[in-house]
Amino acid sequence: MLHLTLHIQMNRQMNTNLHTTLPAAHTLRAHLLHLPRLLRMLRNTLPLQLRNTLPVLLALVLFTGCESHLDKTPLGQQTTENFFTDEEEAIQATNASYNKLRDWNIHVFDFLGLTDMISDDATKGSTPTDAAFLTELENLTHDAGHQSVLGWWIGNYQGIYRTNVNLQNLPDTDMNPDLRNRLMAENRFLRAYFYFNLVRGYGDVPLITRPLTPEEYDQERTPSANVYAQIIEDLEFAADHLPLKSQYPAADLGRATQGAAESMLARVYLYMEDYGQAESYARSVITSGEYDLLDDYFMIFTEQGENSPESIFEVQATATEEGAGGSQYGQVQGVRGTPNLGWGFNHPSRDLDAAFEPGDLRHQATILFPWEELPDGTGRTVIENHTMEDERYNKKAFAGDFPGTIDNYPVNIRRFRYSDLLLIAAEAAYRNGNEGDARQFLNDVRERARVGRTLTIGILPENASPHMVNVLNLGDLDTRVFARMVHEGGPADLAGIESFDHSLDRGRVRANLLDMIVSVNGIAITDRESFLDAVDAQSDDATVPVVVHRIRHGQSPEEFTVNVTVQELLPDVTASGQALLDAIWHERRVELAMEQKRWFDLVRQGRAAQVMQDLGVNFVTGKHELFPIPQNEIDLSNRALTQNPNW
Amino acid sequence: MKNRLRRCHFLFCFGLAALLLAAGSTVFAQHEVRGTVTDAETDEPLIGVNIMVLGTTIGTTTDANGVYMLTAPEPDATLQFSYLGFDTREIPIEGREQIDVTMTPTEIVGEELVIVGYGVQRRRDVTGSIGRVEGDRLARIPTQSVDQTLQGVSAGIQVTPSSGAPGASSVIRIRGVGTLNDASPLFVVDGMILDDINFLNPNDIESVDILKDASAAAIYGARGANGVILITTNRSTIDRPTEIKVNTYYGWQEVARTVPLTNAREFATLANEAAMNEGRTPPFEDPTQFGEGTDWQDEIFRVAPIRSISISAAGGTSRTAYNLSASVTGQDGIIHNNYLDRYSFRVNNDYYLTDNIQVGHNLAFIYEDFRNAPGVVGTAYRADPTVPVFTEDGNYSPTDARASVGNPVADLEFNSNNENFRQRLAGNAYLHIDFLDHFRYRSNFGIDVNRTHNRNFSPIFFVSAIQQSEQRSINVSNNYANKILWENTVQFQRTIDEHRIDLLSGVTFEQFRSENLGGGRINVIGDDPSLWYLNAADDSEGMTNFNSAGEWAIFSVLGRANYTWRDRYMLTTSLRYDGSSRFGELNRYGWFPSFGLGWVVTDEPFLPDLPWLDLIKPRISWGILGNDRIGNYEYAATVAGNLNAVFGPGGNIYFGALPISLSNPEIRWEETTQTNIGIETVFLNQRLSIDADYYRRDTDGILVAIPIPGYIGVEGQPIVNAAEVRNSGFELTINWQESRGRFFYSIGGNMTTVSNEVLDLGRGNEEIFGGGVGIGGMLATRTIIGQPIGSFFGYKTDGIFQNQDEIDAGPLRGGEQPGDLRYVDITGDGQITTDDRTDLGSPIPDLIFSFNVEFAYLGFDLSASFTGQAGNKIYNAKKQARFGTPNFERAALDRWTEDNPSTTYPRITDGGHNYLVSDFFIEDGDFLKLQNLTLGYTIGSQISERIGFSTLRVYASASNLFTWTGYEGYTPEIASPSVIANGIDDAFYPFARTINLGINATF
Repeated sequence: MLHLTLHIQMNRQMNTNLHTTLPAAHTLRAHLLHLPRLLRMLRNTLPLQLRNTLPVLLALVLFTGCESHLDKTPLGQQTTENFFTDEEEAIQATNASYNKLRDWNIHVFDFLGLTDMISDDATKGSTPTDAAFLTELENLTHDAGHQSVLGWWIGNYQGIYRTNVNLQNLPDTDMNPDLRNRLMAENRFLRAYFYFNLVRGYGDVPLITRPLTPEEYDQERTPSANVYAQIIEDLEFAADHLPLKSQYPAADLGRATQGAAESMLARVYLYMEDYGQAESYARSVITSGEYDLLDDYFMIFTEQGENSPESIFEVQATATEEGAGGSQYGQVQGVRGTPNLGWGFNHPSRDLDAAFEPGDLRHQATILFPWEELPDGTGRTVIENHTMEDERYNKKAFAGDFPGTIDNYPVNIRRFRYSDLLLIAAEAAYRNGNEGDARQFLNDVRERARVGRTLTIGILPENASPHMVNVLNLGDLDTRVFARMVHEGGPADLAGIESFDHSLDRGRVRANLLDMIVSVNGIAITDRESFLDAVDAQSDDATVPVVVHRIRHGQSPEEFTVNVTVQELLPDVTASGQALLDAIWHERRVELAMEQKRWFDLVRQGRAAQVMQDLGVNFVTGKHELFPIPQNEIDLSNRALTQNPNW
Repeated sequence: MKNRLRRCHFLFCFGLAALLLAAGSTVFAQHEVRGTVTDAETDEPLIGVNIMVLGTTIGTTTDANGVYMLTAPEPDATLQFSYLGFDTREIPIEGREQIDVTMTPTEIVGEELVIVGYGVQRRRDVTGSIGRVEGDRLARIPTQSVDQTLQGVSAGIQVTPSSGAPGASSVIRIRGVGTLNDASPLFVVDGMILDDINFLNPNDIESVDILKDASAAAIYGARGANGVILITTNRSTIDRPTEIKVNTYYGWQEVARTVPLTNAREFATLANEAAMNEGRTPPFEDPTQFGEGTDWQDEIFRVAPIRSISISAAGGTSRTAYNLSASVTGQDGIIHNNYLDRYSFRVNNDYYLTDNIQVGHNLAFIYEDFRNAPGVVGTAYRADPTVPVFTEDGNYSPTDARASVGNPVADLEFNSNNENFRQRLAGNAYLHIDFLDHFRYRSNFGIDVNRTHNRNFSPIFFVSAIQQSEQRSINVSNNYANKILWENTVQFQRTIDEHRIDLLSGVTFEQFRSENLGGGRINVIGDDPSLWYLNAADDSEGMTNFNSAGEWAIFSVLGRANYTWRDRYMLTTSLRYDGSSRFGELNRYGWFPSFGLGWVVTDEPFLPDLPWLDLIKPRISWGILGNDRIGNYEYAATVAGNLNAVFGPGGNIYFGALPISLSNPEIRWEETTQTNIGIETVFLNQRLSIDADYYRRDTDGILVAIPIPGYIGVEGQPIVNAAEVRNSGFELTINWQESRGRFFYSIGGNMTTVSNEVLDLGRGNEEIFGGGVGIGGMLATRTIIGQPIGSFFGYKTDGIFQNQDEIDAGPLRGGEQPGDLRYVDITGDGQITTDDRTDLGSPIPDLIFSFNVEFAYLGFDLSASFTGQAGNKIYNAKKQARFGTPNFERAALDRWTEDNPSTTYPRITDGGHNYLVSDFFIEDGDFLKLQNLTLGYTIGSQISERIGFSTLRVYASASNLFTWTGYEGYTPEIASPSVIANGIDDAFYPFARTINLGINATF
């Protein structure tokens, strides 16, 4: 009633001008129901001549309010009301799914911890106290509260959420149906990729295939078989609807392809121990003719080697002036210190160092040592960082100078290479009883690692950089090659050649021992190429004299000759049975070292316990095959999630 | 902006209508009256007495001789004489042409005025809890920033400096912490609502009123929940000769305390021990070869000057009152390479256009030029004392071999190449129209234009692997923030017999917009400051540019009714209706009511007239206030942009966008319901006053980020109104002052208790962790129902394992060795797990107190003020963060070894078991600080007048002179803007002890 009274008074006194300003304020008016009492109180205290005019004034104020000014649209941000309306936005939304692949939680710290550092391939790296929690993974002392165990879980599910939002909205987006199918297939490929990470790492995990409503937040774990079924379904859809690598326009290089989907199917079936399907999909990729091994293994991990014919799926990153396309995958593994190229995590382990066969050049392509020249061709050397222990870097994640600074690392993350697929084919073929083909696939990979050479003398030579020569005070020597590594029991070792050894004394480097190679069988050695040529000129099993300058700390160089037996380099595998399987597994290790394949391979192959225990790590069978379900997640699901056994 | 204002034309309409009404009510006069007004007690003429013809808007004031003249509309009209501090008189003209009037001073207590929101109230009539500080008290103590001067001035307010850097602001809390978000109070300077007051010139301040309870603050509705601080700056009155004041001082600042650290020899010993305990090779062959080594704290700190001069001129002509001031203040930091120079100007004028129309303005312009220091305090705390500052060949020494920190002195040179400027214009212009006898219309238009400009340059340098820059880089940014405020109020004041009525209603509109724009480049062509510009860099690589903006608006309708009956019974009610753009359409508006009652018991006739009892006034208030300090667009479902993907040979960036977070369109205000019960008393002929208050603030609907499972896949946590917190406590203020002949003294003090308890955290939110400490950012606080916000949380220790037998007795985490801390098995399950972490005390003090004494005798004045707090804990996080082997606090010398079975300090390690979050790192934060000690001498007027001054005072003053505390850090005053990560000491810029010499002169 009071409300009405106010209206009547207003109407009586209002002029037409006011009418036009009135309709703006319905919401406010609704709130005014309580005001009239106050107004009446006020009015009664007024002199008569004002009693009728004041309500007009108040009405003016209240009803023509600045309400419209309270609608502030976020500046510089789009809102959901006007999103997913056309083809362009559909593409942008799918780009956001790919964007997650460069994310910290997917392919950076936690990922490297849960794949490389946890395995026998790598140690944490950096300084002892830097990110000490990663050491727990290295020693398998992590628990359900470990931040990487949580971080990777969350990262993958965030990726899944993005694909789910896309898969929910794409069917209703007004766009070209072929493109729609392709985008759907890309998102399903990526969803499968994320779920494959989860199911391998955590076992049974909640299977979520659309954005959840708050009532559905308490999720239970889905049996891994169902998760695998979803992965297969997604990948099959992707394989059916994605173009071949060669069918994409160049500008789309890096998107999921039919080959990538089939390769993933081969890998997933291998993990499911369905070797028939695994071999069939692997052969389909091989016969597609879309992929080939790159001749030079060294080239694969250089900038020029990005998206090579060998690349099946590769997360694209770039370092531009704007800085928006980088990935920290390379940054956290970059050289720490001088030159300062990163944080220095994920050191190739001594065990991996020793796993390479004599003369396997993949060793040098994988591990970057102190005092070694950087692969960027600048002539700079990694200077030993005395705050780091057992310093080695992942050369496969190396990038030299790049524009901008942090987060702007340009290294593409090579997730699926053709040699990986060949080794999957080899393993599947072996399991299917086809040892001949298995050997063939395996030897194809080994042949490339040989880079056309056939012989080795078991010494990996390395160019001595001017910088190192200077630091080690070797001014009277020219910058020839020195012996990097001599395997215990190898021909060079037997011949008395020792590896470069250095130590630290109060921050200054002291070279204890260094063998500079002068000649091989009379052929003068000036650099690594001349050394390789000289070795290739020898005949198998011949014993040839190698002249070295041996430099000892505080003594003059001493020249002497050792006799070294020449051996065939990486000979073709002829084994069969278990030995062949072991050879395939070994090849997977050295071919794919520091590419985050090792841990899940070991678990899949059922020998993680043995391998880790041999290294003195307390791997508990029946426990460490899976990561724990993050305790936070169990709590926040209101305990709908259960923990993995023995955690 | 112009366009938007035009659309707000209703405010103009409102103003215009009021103006017409006022003009229409003016009638031409007929009867001339003149006379003199004098003080009944002293017979002195009174200047500026207000004389009104009752029932009209006709009025005048007395001149310098107390003479007035006016023309009344009719000979039988009644004149009303009013004057601040005197009883108002109403005298019928009765046809007379000469009426001389005497006026009697009112009782001081009754007429003391306080500033309340949108007006002034007699202190006697106030039913809320308001703390008041007079500006002269602030001006007498030389400090550079206003917020620090508020420390200890009133019960209920806690002021903690956040840093000792020049220009740093303080964290201010009124009556505890009532939110998990921004708990800062609202600042209102001369009616202009501002986010900070740090830029003000302390000499300009007339008074500070702190609105603590709902009755006082609810008029600020949605923004009053954390209390309101009203600041009034100096103005003048008409017909007053010009008075020029000069205040100047020069001072020396130095770091008040440093942390006792081990010297080189001790460090080498401990570092060797740490290495051996961890199975590494000891880094030092012979620790005894070292002496004292480098005291890095000595190297970064300096004695720094501070100087200030402030000049003001105030006076008035017959129609104009003016107050102008200018000041220049320069402060160098106590750490090398930083400073702040501030130039401020203020013009506060009032123009009496006609008898009933008055306009005026309060405008301040501030220009600041400053340079920031890099964060070297933590570095100096950690740096290796065995390393000299410079190598033998004069380069900076690398310091990263053991401590893994850069050389602090090199840091000061290479990382302080910044230039910053700020310009700020803040103030308002107003219009008053008095009409229809008892009405006053006021329109107030305020602006706050704040621009900052920052430029940061990094040269090429190499000190060590972790302290180097391979490129010259430059980053430049410009920020602007503009605010307008427009308030229109109508006030009605009338006394009818025993009834005093004061009504106010109005509308206000406020709009804010900020934007920043900047860029960065690498490969700058040189080091000279003249090249610190983007165009002096190669833009072919490493170019960054950024630009973002935000805005909000708030529209409010407000009303207040104050009613006093028989001068004894007071009722205050207020109601504010706020609408804010920060909230979605579902919950955009809120009502904020308040009620207050007061009763002057001592005026009751039934009470005998006791000579020693001057006033007893109980009062009670209740109200609801809001807190709207959240992001500008939290309700909106936004699409995250720049989720870019890279495709194509060579890598091209393709824009990506997707909604990846949840929005909460129902987001609404945090609501604080506050109840206050208080009593004001005055005894012994105004000598003693005691005020006591009990308060309870329940804040409901506190915005918290609800943790949801990660598998939902949403990025960021949805923010909902869920948590509830209660703050309650007592406030007590006691003041005694007395003059005995030429000797005057006063003693005063206040104390506040704060009990903070979380009542609810919302569904699924059993606990909120915060406060990352140590390596890896272990969380050291937990906010949980039933405990204070942000309580420390970790293991409780129970001494040190002395030998293997004790270890074997357990309980253990695993891997303990003799000399390790023994953690308490809270769960009693025989082992130490993360479940054994427990509450370890709160950073919120139970008690805040301050007191001050003042003496004056024969021109000398001496004052001392103390402030302190008790019951809070401090987390010494700097001790815990061991990245490598940094320096040790001297307490580590008493570490456990086989020969020294210490029970207080575990064996030396650089990480592991002894570095978990535990009470080993928690210390008591109790302190008492001699905040200021000032001795002044006012030179006798005969002498000062002879040399041209009307008054002249010289003084010496010391601030932060002593702090009594058991805490071993730079200061026990540890503040963080985050309420869930408070009281954590991680080595910030410490406060200075300052000695000043100054002069206050008046011409």
